[in-house]
Amino acid sequence: MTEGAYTSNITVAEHHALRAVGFAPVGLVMGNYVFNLRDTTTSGTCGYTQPDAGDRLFRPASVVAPVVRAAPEMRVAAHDAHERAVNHMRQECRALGGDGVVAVELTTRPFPFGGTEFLAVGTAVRATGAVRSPEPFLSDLSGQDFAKLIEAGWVPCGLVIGLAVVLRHDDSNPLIPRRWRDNAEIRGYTELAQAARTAARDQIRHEVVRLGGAGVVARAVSLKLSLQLCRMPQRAGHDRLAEAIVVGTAITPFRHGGPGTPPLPVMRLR
Amino acid sequence: MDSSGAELSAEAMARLNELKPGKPGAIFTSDMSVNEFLLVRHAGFRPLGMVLGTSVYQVGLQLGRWSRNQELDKLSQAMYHARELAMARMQTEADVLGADGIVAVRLKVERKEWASDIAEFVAIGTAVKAESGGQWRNHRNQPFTSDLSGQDFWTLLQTGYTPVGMVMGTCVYHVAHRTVGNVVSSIGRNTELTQYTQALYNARELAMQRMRKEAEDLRAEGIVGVQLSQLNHTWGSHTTEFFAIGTAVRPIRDDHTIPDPYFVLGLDA
Repeated sequence: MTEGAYTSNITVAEHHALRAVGFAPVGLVMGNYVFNLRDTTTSGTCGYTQPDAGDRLFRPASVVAPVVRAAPEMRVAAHDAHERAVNHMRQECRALGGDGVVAVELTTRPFPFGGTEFLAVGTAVRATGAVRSPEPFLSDLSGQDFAKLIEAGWVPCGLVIGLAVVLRHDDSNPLIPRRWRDNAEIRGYTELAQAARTAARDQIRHEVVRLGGAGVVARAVSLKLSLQLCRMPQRAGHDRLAEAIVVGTAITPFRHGGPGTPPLPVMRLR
Repeated sequence: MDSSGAELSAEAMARLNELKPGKPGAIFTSDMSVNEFLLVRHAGFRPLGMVLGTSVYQVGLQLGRWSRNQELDKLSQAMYHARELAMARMQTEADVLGADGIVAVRLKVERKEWASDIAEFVAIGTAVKAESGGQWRNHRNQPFTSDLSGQDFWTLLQTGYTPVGMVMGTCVYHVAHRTVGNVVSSIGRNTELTQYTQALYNARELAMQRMRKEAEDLRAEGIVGVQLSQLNHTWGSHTTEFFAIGTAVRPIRDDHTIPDPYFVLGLDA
């Protein structure tokens, strides 16, 4: 238990919602981790051994196009960084005697002295009733959303982060301005984007299974692209990197039976 | 909808098959908020999984005549085709899951750092299946799509309508520049710039008409939740895209009533 006043990053309405379903805030908790993705990875090659013969328009038919590959080392490194930040937060929550953390906000930002900082901030809560969870649960849901879930018979079982990094050797030809060309889908890039997003979605699914959830409500799906020098030996050119992230909260039903209270249609007077 | 390019890799198929309901340990992924999730459940649907489709597209070059109002059909086509590719891929994924529909679809154009004329068109939604069965798919036996939020979806079903599909229309239009004579003659006067007005009218009308045509093809009764946006991509100040998107609906029963709403005074700002 905390001594004296608690701190939190929740609004008055969120606070009220939490209290209404039998939870009380115990304090603001956070965790961060600064790391450099480039330093942590040595491999992550594109695997493309064909000569750079320009892109699809000028490539002879005999030369195969580069394929999209997963970059598992990078994925693990990036995921690990998120995980560490979140774990710090979980430890803080445990130290405060909390049962879980709500309203978790994950931010990724460049650190002024180089590298990237992952920051997780949330409010630790404690159940006022007798039922306790053995391990603190984490959730990026607002206080209201949390309350609505509990009312409807669902409980959050953890914050899940689906993260995937894929890369593909870049075969675009910088000498030819694209503007001169026609409408066309760029298959290579589509494959890259699709692979990253799909892999992130699969990853989040694995995470949910690991946590024993029945499903996930996700909020943010984002795709970040970057260009890096190709790391294949004796090789010029660049690789295109795509990093997709899906963040959500895994949930599981704790009450079986009816669908709970039906929604009440309301009209706001304001 | 054009289904070319809607093929899925064997890998993707295998993973989607894992998500099919009835498999042991099948869990759902969703791209819904808690409100949406609870309301979709209450409406009698079960989320199956997050489905997505993407297309990275290079938009070609077409210049408008300096002093003429005209549609840039090549650009219109690009915006249309790319969105359709993304939507078709998403629908294919939902079809594999055996879904009845896709709700809360978000169709976005994301300009990436690739190059100024390349954009990623992405469609993301949550595939759902009715708990009690019934005919929910559209007349082409494809899962319905809807860009309505879970809240709107619930309300729609309560009032006796069901979505049949997302419909869209687009028109990239070049607005004529004013001639010197025109500019000079109107200096200091209150006057309508009829050429501009006409251009915006035409472009909007074309976009709306195309959307309506899609809805008719889906045998819908009407379109709800239409958003008409004017998007200025990277084409300069006189070329804009008018984009209309909405959800086509059809009635499923004769009475269209919902319980009287309660009036509430929100205490949050």
